[in-house]
Amino acid sequence: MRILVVEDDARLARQLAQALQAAGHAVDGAADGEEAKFLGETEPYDAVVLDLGLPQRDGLSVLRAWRAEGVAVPVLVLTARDGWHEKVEGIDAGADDYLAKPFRMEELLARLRAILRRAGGRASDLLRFGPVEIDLRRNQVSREGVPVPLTAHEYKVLAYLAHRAGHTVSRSELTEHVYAQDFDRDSNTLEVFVGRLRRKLGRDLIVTERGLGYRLDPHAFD
Amino acid sequence: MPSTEPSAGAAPDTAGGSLRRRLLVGAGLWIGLALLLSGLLIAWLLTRAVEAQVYDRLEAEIDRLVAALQVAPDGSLTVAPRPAAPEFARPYSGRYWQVAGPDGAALARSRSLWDRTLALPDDALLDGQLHRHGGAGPDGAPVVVVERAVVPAGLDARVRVAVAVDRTAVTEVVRPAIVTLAASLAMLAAGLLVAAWLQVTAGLRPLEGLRRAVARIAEGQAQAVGTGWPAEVAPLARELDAVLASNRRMAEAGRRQAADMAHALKTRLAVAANEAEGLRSSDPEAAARLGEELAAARRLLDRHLARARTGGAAPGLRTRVPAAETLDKLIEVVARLAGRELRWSLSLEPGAVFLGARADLEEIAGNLLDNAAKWARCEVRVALRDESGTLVLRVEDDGPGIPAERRAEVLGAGVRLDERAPGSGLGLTIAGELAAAYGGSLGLGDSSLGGLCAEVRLPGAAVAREPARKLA
Repeated sequence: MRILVVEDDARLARQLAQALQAAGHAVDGAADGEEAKFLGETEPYDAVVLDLGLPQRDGLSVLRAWRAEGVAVPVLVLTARDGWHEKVEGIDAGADDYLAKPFRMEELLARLRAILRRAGGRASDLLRFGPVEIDLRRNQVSREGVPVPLTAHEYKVLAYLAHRAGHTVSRSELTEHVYAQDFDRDSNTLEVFVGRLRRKLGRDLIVTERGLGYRLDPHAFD
Repeated sequence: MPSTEPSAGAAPDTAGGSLRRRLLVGAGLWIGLALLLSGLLIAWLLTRAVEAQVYDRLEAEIDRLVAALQVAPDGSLTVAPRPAAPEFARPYSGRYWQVAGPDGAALARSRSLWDRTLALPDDALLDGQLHRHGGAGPDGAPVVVVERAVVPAGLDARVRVAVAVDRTAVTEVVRPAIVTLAASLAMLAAGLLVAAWLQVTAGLRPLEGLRRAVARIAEGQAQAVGTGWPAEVAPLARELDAVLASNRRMAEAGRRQAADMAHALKTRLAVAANEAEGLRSSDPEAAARLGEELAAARRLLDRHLARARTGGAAPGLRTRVPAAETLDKLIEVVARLAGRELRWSLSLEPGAVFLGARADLEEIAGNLLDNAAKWARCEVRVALRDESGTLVLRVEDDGPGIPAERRAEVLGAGVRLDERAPGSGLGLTIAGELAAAYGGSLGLGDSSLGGLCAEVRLPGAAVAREPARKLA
């Protein structure tokens, strides 16, 4: 998943990015409200972690602007403003969840998983496709109960295809959701990752739709 | 911040006296004094006028009497013809005449004097001169006397011719006029006092209006007393509004500073907490110690920040907050942030009003609801109602509850009883302190659902009388 972290405190932004990357996400950062608004409107993020007290433009106003523009990305507000009045305001502005600073990183990750789960219409962080099991909480994949070691990029490709299971995902979409903005993107490497995933998890799980892209077939093993 | 409003039973502080009474007493004194002096003056003038008439009559009598004086060849003095009025013939009738020698001995007199003499004061009259006296009649009653000294032809001595009439001739005419006058003046005084009362009432009305405007501010229905006051009250209204506006600005600035400080500090705390987490693998003991310190710092910060936020409790900064709507919205948010499905049973009295800052009601209720949502197994029950002017919010859950002996501890020191749920564990403490700032209270008890029952009572919040409606 590709996550936008909007936080003006550089150290906290770095900690968040590290934790999110460790959880298998591609992470972009924005340090002020204007940059955040621009990125949110132009890049297809799967979720946003949004601070409210931002330079140039307040986080709440960024959130309202996104919602007014029809940007429906799930947003987790992460802020020091922890009064209930502010929480009501944040949810009113279109936030999906609200977490007060200081926070525990596990809690942030759990809440982020929950809003991603809701956005993907899933009930659980444990996805099963026949013998293949993907544990989004632990970033672990197993086949017939045996853990399958994946590289970070293989995992990202699999997690995004699983997030959109049943839908065809174009190469460009996959690229946008698997790589951070500043990453040197080479769509040919996607083929390599998909090939490796097929070898490790079975040929039929990921279908190539010629000229369109890839599709994770939830009924591949039926 | 405790309420500074006087309690309902306290005597009003009117040591400064009453302006109305002061103005009315002043007006009464002036009206009374002016009318009394006018009455005395009119009565005096009236008496003088009646006396002048009586003297005129007496002087006419004297003229006739002098013309009737006759001296016999033997030097004796007679009056012929004698004055004809029948009162002169009836003894003690009240009308008298007398001709006296220079020694005062009567030479001739009316029959009405009987055998008495009119006592005339010692007087040195020149010929023909008229003198007016008071004196006593034969029966001792006060009389009005006019006398003239003449030297009748054929007599070489001066005689004093006097005519007298009872003073009642004056008083009987004057008294009814004075009684009428007094009655008229009394009525005039009453009329003037009523007019003065009306004037004072009308004059003081803007002050009553100002009092009501200030009361509306205290009840949260207005933010300022506004403009449109009479010139004498307008400066006071302006000053009052300026003080209120300055208070609001200061409270707002204080809140903003607290929020800015919180933002900065909490972000640093978040960074430090994450660094401590990073240490956990290499030095778990140090990480745990650091974590504890950071958690304590957060609790301190949360508690003091909550206190700094309670600006809305001050009278003058209060507004009328529709409580049921506020709670409805809040419950939606709490339910969403709880991150799990719970059954919410709501009974919110519509029209219930909280007198204060909306953020404060949200903070009090939000903390109770959040606590219930954290610990409930599957149900939270919320009831909001008005108990004769007291806003009562009760939040119950079916969770583990808090043992009775530990409840005071939770409210008093803000200790965390259980580390399983996230948060600073200060929610109930903060709710209790905020309620206290409004002169209210938070009580913890057992719920019939099996868990905790938290009930907050906020006095002084007026409630529109409408029948309770069950929601959800």
